[in-house]
This record gives sequence, structure tokens and C-alpha cells, in this order.
Amino acid sequence: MTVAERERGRAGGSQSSGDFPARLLQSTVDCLEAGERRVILDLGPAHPGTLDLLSGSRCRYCIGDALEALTRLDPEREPGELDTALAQLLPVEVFANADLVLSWQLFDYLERPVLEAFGRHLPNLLAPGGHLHAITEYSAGTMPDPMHGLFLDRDGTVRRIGTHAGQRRTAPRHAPAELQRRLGGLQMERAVLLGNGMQEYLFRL
Amino acid sequence: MAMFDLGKRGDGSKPESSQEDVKMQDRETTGASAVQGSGAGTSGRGAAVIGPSIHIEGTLRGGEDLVIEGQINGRIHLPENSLTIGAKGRIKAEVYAHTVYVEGSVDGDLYGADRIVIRKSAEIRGNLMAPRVALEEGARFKGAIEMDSKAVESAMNKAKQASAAETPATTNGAAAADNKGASAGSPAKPAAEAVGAKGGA
Repeated sequence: MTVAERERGRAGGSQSSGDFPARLLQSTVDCLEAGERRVILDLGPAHPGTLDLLSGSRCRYCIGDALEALTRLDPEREPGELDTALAQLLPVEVFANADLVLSWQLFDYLERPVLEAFGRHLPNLLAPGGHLHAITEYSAGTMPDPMHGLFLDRDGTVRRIGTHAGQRRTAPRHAPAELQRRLGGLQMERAVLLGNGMQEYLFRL
Repeated sequence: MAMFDLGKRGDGSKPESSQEDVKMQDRETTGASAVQGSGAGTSGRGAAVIGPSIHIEGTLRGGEDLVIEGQINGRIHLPENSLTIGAKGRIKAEVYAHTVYVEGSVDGDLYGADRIVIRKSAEIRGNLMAPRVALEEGARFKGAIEMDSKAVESAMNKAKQASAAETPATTNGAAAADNKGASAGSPAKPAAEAVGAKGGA
């Protein structure tokens, strides 16, 4: 049973309003070649549901736990300093050669200089031909502040960590072409608008 | 087989277990833990305890279960036993044990011949290698978890061999610390002294 099949199997169940299937992610991970060991880098925090989902698969699951720190980086710093900070937050000694990087909601919370620094660091993390999967706000005018992260649960559903209660800020609503420009060496392969107003992107190195 | 093909996961050589399964096993095996005040509910009966005031630099080896509430810098080798890094434990070391429970802070790679269990209070920066890894929500982890059973087996063998290769004679049934550095500024101490005043080390 693939991630997509498992998610479909529970359709109509106890899905809460904040949960949603990420079809592009599901098809991406299910299409990764059989039998080969893969490296997945999740920039978010560790979550037992994701670990459960990946348990037993032929992969190395890397947890960057860097979202909060990345959003706190000072965009006024010199580009070289930002590059150094990125290299410390996501060291290549640990996180290099990723076949798939999961970067959910991060782009909505990064100021342009930090986003561009992140784009410069990505080729250091990705294996040749590796993919970056991103989720951003597309329709909503506002979003939680600070970020309420997303995680991939054991049934293949993307869920929100915490609730929407609290402050909100204006969502940048990046255009796909703008994101591609900020991410430098990556090419956008696909973009899918989800029913909940969020957008999935798949970039390739 | 798709990498995320949940119905055909694994190579069939190892039992699959969910986070709930592992938690249930933990409760079954640790309900009568004799350890009080530290590592409660995680390790077996009568485990030796390294107290919070103890600081060890070097290699720690042993043949009995161990709870660490102190600070260890170096290497820990308990191939046949469980190691609990208690909530006050501060480890900067490569760890090899049969079973590893983490409630405290770890900076280093963990190898669990059977499994590694990460409690919600844990803070880990390093890599995990074990046939089974359980993680409680709320735990902080930065690093990599190897899910590929073949890669785990290979890494475990290498770690075991590397650790055994540098092993001097070890006292049976007792933990021993090969002090390579000073603890709190003092020169190397005999193993029993270094391991500390608490527990049966």
C-alpha cells in the first residue's frame, strides 16, 4: 500500500480541518525507485508519526529541525554571514546527498535575503537530481505567526503542529516564478494547488 | 517495490513495530524498575547509576544495565545491556549498547543493537542506528536515523568491531571507565572511583 493508497483508505474518517493530503509529495515518494536506499531530509522537527511512516523503508531519514532557527536569521546580515549561518544550521557533514528535502511553509516565513541564502545552500544538501518539496500558502491572505509547522503523519496525511490560535501575519503568496528565481540553481518541475488553498511545489537540482 | 510501499515494507528479516508497539514493550519490561529518581520506568532492575555529580572523560564499558544522570565525554560500550541516559544525564560520546533509552542530552552517535527509545524530554544531536527506533512527541532531535536494515546491520557491525578492537581487558559484571582525560581537573582515577559513589559500578 502506497502513501496515497493509505491516505485514500482513511478518507471520510476523522480528518480534521487542518489535515490534508499532499498528492505531489505522495507521488514523489512513491515513485522513488524501488530497492535503492534514499536520503530524505526533513527541515522540520522530529515527529513520531513521520518516523513511523518511514520505518522499515530503505532510507536514511535526516531531521534538520531548523525551521525556527532559519526564520530567526537576521536578513540584514551580510550574504557571507548568512551563508555561514546556513552551513552551521544544516551542516553538509550530516545532511548532504539528500534525494528529497522537505521544506514546508519555510518560504513563507523567510525574508528575501535569507531565502536567497537558503537557495544558495540547497545544492550543498541535495544529491545530483535530488528534489525539494515545498508547501506554501497560496490563497490565504494571512498565516499564523509564528509558524505552526506541518508534519507527515503515519497515515500519509500532512497535519499541522498546534493550532491556528494566536497572532497572524500577512502571507507573502510567492509567485512560482519568483520562488524559482530565489532558489537559484533549482528548476521547478511541478506545482499543484491544493484544495485548502496551499500550494505544493517540486523543485529539482 | 516503492520506497514508501507500506504494505511490503522491509525485507521480512526483521519484525516491524510501530511507535505504539515499542512503547507497549517498554511498559511491559520496565514496570518494576528498581531505579529510583532517575531513568524511572526505562531500564531494568538494579541498574547501576552514575549520579548527577559524576563527570567521566574516556571510555566507559560494562556488563550490567546502567543509568547515567551525570556527564560522560568519550565513548560508552555496553553491548549486552541497556543504557538509560536519565533526564539529568549529559552525554558527549559515541554510545553502543543493546538498548538505549534517552531522557537527557546527547551529543554524539547512538548505536542500539536491539533498539533506541527517545523520550519526550530528550535532546539529541547525532545519528541513530538501531533495528528499531521509537520517538516520543516533544523530543528534540537533530541528525539522521538510518531506516535501511542492511545499512543498520553494516553500521552496527562496524561500530561493534571498532569498539571491541580498542577494548582492554574489562571486568566482568562491572562497569569500567578507561580514563583518558581528567575529570574536573583531576588526573586519571581508578575505574571504580571514576564511576562514582552511587550504584554498583
